[in-house]
Order: sequence, then structure tokens, then C-alpha cells
Amino acid sequence: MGNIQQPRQPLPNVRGKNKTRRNHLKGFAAVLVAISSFLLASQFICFNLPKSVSTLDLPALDRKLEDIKKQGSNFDFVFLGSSRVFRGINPAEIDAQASKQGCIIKTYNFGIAGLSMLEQKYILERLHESGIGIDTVVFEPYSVTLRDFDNYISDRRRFFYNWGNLAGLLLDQNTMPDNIKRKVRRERLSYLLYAFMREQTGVGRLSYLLFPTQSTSRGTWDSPILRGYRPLDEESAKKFIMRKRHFVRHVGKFQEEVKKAAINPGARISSGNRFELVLDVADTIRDMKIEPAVIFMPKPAYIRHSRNLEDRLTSKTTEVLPIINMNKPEYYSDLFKTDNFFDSSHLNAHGAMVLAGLLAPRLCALQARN
Amino acid sequence: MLFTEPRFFIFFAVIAIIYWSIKSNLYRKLVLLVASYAFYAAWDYRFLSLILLSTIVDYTAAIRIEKAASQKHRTRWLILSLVVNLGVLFAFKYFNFFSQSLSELMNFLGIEVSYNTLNIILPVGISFYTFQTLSYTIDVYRKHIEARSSLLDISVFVAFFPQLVAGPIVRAVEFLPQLDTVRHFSKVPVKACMTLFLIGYIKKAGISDNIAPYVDMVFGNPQLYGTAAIYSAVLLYAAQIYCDFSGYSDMAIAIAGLLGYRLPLNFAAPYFSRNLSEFWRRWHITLSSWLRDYLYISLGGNRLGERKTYRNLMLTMLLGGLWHGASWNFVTWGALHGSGLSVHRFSQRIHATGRSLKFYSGVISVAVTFYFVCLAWIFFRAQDMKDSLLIAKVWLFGGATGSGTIPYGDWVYLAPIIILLHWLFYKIDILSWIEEHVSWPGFSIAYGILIAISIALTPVGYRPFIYFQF
Repeated sequence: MGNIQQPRQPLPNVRGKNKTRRNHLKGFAAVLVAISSFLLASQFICFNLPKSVSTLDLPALDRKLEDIKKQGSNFDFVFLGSSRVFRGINPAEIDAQASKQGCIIKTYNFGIAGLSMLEQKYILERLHESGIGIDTVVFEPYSVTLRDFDNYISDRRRFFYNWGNLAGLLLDQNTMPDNIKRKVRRERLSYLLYAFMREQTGVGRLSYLLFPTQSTSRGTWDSPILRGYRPLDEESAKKFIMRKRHFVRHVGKFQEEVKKAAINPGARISSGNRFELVLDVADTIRDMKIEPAVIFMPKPAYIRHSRNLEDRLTSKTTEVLPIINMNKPEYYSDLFKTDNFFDSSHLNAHGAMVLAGLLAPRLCALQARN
Repeated sequence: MLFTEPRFFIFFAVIAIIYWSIKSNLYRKLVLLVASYAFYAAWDYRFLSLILLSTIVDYTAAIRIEKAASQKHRTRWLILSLVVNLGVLFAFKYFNFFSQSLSELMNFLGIEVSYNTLNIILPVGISFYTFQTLSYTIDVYRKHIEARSSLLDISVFVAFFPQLVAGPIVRAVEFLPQLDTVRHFSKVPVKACMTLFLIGYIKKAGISDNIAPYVDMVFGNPQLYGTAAIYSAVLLYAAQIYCDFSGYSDMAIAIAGLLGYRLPLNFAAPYFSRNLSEFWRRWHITLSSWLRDYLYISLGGNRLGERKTYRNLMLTMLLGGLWHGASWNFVTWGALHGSGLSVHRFSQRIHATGRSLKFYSGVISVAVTFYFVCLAWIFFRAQDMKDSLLIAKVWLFGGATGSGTIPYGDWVYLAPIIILLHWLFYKIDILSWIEEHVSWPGFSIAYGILIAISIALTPVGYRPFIYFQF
């Protein structure tokens, strides 16, 4: 303590220069160069940060298991699925609607955001172990076996996943249902600006840091329409490959990792592969002495990645595996009104009420059949 | 508002543009003052009143000290300043601690006493600006500087936002003269400042915040973890607290630099110290020099004989520990350092002094010093004394009872590279080199790339700087 010396100055001295207009221009140019460099580096990082297989949201699962036990010991229908189920199925309303039609049913919503079919199998085992009596499990064949952007590494990647959203928005306008297309057109400029500001300038990442929440209801971080798009199978991959060359690399990497994550590492991730997976989940349910049923939740036409699967299941398995396909705008035009959607692929509270009215008779019929 | 938050970047950009577009020094200082108060109010506007109180008291006391006719009057005004500043600090930071400790002591002695606590939160940065303002009145009292007639200057000195909440603790003698002259943007080492800010950002957000979860995990439940995990957690905490605090200091120096002001260096690669005395010349330099000049020397320093020197060292470090927080853990941390400094001083007396160490003995000295510093960090970080002793026991003798491990990830491989870079940055004056030799286009390109990398390294969510709590 006794002989502490004066530290050296942390910053160097600089000789004074006259401030000139030229210096201002130089400074401006330097900022532009730095921004360009930042954007290019971001692109590089975007394509090189690894993605990894995410894990199930186990705390959410535990909360659900606790909750279902509190709700009772016997259920007629338990819905298993992704956020589309979680947000779109209103059990109380379904039960009430069914009651009005003279059938008494008890339903439970076991939707967890991003829940894949592989994870559904795990949940089924947990449900079976807990001894809860279930007559029918209605599951959503959510085909994503790999969820990106929700773990430690991919969280960083989220920031750099940029042009995909922007380009996706531009491309998808041509394949969206009319009502959503109108909505997008109406808000196109703001979305474009939002996407650009968010992804390209880093403001999005920064705002995400500022408001670190996963809640999509805020709508601040993940613009709903931008978020809805992901190239998940060959079909959408092809579309991307045709449009943008650099997506080839991205999609290729993604597909490789999906393959690694699949049950059979050698299997191709295709509608056929998923078809087998649906049957596998159905068999697991049957093994537990529970009746299986499949539900396709409403989502816009431009989200194409499950259409092949829907068509194939509907055409080949209806007799052995009940299919409740609510993803048909041509039949349920009231349900597909823009006002019923929170975003491009999730129903809002009103949409869930409408869906409950449509689902109740289907479930009553299913109960009578079982 | 943290330096790593986007809203701070926006805040600073606006302030810098306004500041540099004004020619008048007076208006610039006004801008700085408003910005500093706004910066503090973003945390809690109510505690601005404490800063104002401290400012006015010290402004008045300093003038009165200077104008006082007799030494007695001078001393009276100094005492007033000390009482007000330390009284506020005591009320907000230490009242509950002493009240509880006294009550526990009385209960231990068999006297039933209930204690009262004040239900108040600790104003951020109070320890820093209190010491800063005290240095002003003490320096005026000691006639090292003249009292300022400008309340604006004193207000800016006390509240200057780059170092308001977590230092460096700036002395009036260093800062006030800078307020007298107009700052010129052409004299600002922009490239050096921006580089220093980025280094600080990477230290804080890229390293410290990424390490923190592992440290929290083990220190939260040390009984569950094995020896390797506890050793790792202690080492990681040493890295975390250094990167956190020195990162903040780097950013503070850089921000002040971009406004044309120089703040003193606060860290100089402290973990490369060969003994504890050297460690304290390199760690939190502005605090240790403050304690030396205003406490250790005031107590008599090393002028009153060897025994009193040890006493002064212990007292200084105990109070230094207490400065960090109202807890016995911090007092123990201070006591450990005080003992270590005393042992070092004693060993210096026995052995011949002044001879330079050979390389290998230098390396061993660095390792031993670091080992001891880490031991002290255990008491600094652990939740309570029970956990501290458990971890310290493992640190000294091994044999943890738990079996838990922590995932090491890529850090194991990155650590040597980071340490090497740290050593190189310390040995080479990289900032001056960048300022003088790197062209603007080259700097801009590299800076853009480094920002992208540093954002990629940043975890989601903010962790406040560790030293904000002090």
C-alpha cells in the first residue's frame, strides 16, 4: 500500500487538427464503412454459427402435468401439439359448446410451443405414468424435429438470421391466402422497414436485449408474419433454392441437421417420413389403451410444409385413424377470417372460440364412435 | 441504464452530438450535468436528491474551509462534510448491518435486544460518489487544491455520468482542471476510445456474462458440487469479477474520452501481480489509492513504527472490505487482504529487498498471489459465511462432498487465448498504436466486424455490473 505509483494514462494523446469539412465527410464515410463491415460480418456469422437440436421445454411440461392432475383424473380428450394447439384450443369453451349439443365431454389442452412428434411420445409416456385416465388423445402432427432459435447458440444466431425473413416476406405474399395477403400488403412497408431495421441494423437484437421476453403477444421482437416462415422440407427448400442462391447453403445445412435429429439418422425428412412418424405416435397411444386422433390446426395456405402429409393421412388413414382437419379455408371460411388470427399461424382468443364451435360436434361424434 | 444497453447507445449518441455541436464551455458543462442527472434518474430519480445534497454540502464546505479564519473553523467544516457524507452512506448502506450485528452480539451475551431495520434500497453508486466528493473537501482542507466558486463545476465533477455509478473514483485535482478548458474534438483519440469501449463491452458482455451462470450455479449450492467444479467456479469467478469491473471501467474511460475528458486507469492486469502489495497497485487502483491517501496516511501510514503500520494496513483493508458492502463476508475479505499485505510487508523486512526475481520464481509468485486472491474472492462472492467456509475448505484442501460438475464448453480452450491476449494488451500499448497507425478505413472495417462478433458473444438478458451494488 505504501508505495503505490501513479498509473499511466489509459488513453493516448493526439495532436490537434483543424476541424474541416473534409474531416466531417471522412467521419461520415468511416461510419458507413463500419456499418457495411458489420452487415457483412453478420452475414458471415449467420451462415457459420452452428445450430443444435433443442430440448423440450421441460419446466413447461412439468407445469402442465401438475395442472392436468389438478384438473381431474379422467379426460375424454387431451390435445397434444404445438403452439397452434396451445393457443387455438379452448377446453372450457369446447366443453360448453359440446354440452349445448347434448354431449358431456371433458377436454384438456396439452399444447406446448414447438412440441414435435418425438416429444409428444415422451409426454405420452409421462401422462401414462401419472395414471390419468384418458379416452382419446388428439395430437397435432407437428413435423419439426429440429427447433432452431431457442437455445444458447441459436439465440445468437437469431440475430443474424436476417435476409431469410425479409426475402421470405416478399416471396410469401404471392402464396398467402387473400385475407392475410391484404393484411400484409396493408402493412408491407412497415414490415419491410421493421425487418430491415430489426435484422440488418441490429436494432432487433438490441431491442430483444432490451426487452428480453419470449412472449409473442408483445409483438415487439418476432413479427408474426415474418416469424411464420421457415423452410422445413424439400418442397419449400426447392422454392428457396430457385429464388435465392445463398439459401441453397442454408437449406442444405438445415436439412443435414434435421436428418441427424431424426429417429433414423439415415432417413430422409420427407412427407413420407413424417407419415410414418404419425403412425408411430398413433401406435404408441394405442399401446396405452387410449384412442388416437389427429388434428390439423388452421394455418394459412402459404405454410405449405404440412400439406402433403395432410393429404396423405386424410386419403389413407381416415378409417383407422380419425383425422380432424381444420386446416381447410374452403370449408371453414368463417374461421379463416383475419380477425381470428393472432398472427399468420396462431388463432387468437376469438378464433379459438370459433374453432371450439366447429370442433365440439366433431368431438361429440368421435366420442359416440369410440 | 447500463453501458451495454441499447438505450444507453442512443442516449450517448444524442448527448455526444449535442455536446460537440455546442461551442461554449459553459453550455457544454450544462449539457453534461443534465445528461448525468438524466442518466442517474433512469435508475431512480428520487436518489438524485442525495447527489444534490452531497454536491451542495461539499461545495459549501470547501469554500468555507478555504475562507475560514482559523484552523479550528477549517476542521469544523471538514467534519461537517464528513458527517453528512458518511452519515448518508451509513444510513443507506450500513445501518441495517450494524443494527442487526449489534443485536446478535447482545443476544449472544444473553441480553435480549430486538433490532430495527430501515426498509430502504441502496442508492446505486453511493459509495463511489461519496468517496469522490470527500476527496474534494479533504484536498481543499489539505490545501492541495483551491475551492471552486462554480457550483456547476462541482456538480459536474460529482455527477459526471461515465463514472458516476461504478467509478473510477476520480479526484477533484484530476478532473476539475479539465473543466476549465474547452475540449476540442480534434484532440479526442476517437479510435482509441472506441477500441477501449469495445474491449470493455467484450469483457463484460462477452466474457463475464457468459461465465456468470456457471459461477451462480456452484456458488448457489456448493454442497452439491465436486472438487473440480468448485475449483472451476472459483477461478471463473476471479475472471468474472475482473472482466465485469474492469470492463465497466474501460467503457467509462472510453465514454469520458469521447467527450474529451480523461479518467484515471483503474486496472492494470492485476492477476499478473507477484505479491499482494503489487496486486493492490493494479486492482481498483482509484479505490486503493483513495484508501491509501485519505485513510492509511491519515492513520499514520508507515510513519509511526512497524506495529502501527500493520494496524493501519489491517484497518485500511477492513474498511476497504466494508466499503464493498455491509456484510461480514466483505469484512472477512478485507481482513484476508489486510493479513496478506501485513505478511508480505513482514517478509520484505526479513528478506533482502530490491532484488529482482528470476523468471520461474516470478511465475511462482504470480501463481501464489493469484491463489490467495482467489481464496479471498470466495468470501467476497459466497452467499454467507457457511458457504464461504465450505468452498474455502475445498479450495485449500480439496475433498468436496458433492459430485456435481459444470459444463466447460469451449471456455477451456478459449481461456489460454484470452489470457494471452490480456497479457499482450497489457504489455503493448495497443490503443496508442491503433490511434497512430491504423487508417480510418481499416479501423472502420475491423470495428464493424468486431461489433458483429461481440454481439454474437452476448447472451440474452442483462446482468447488472457487479460493482453497481457497492
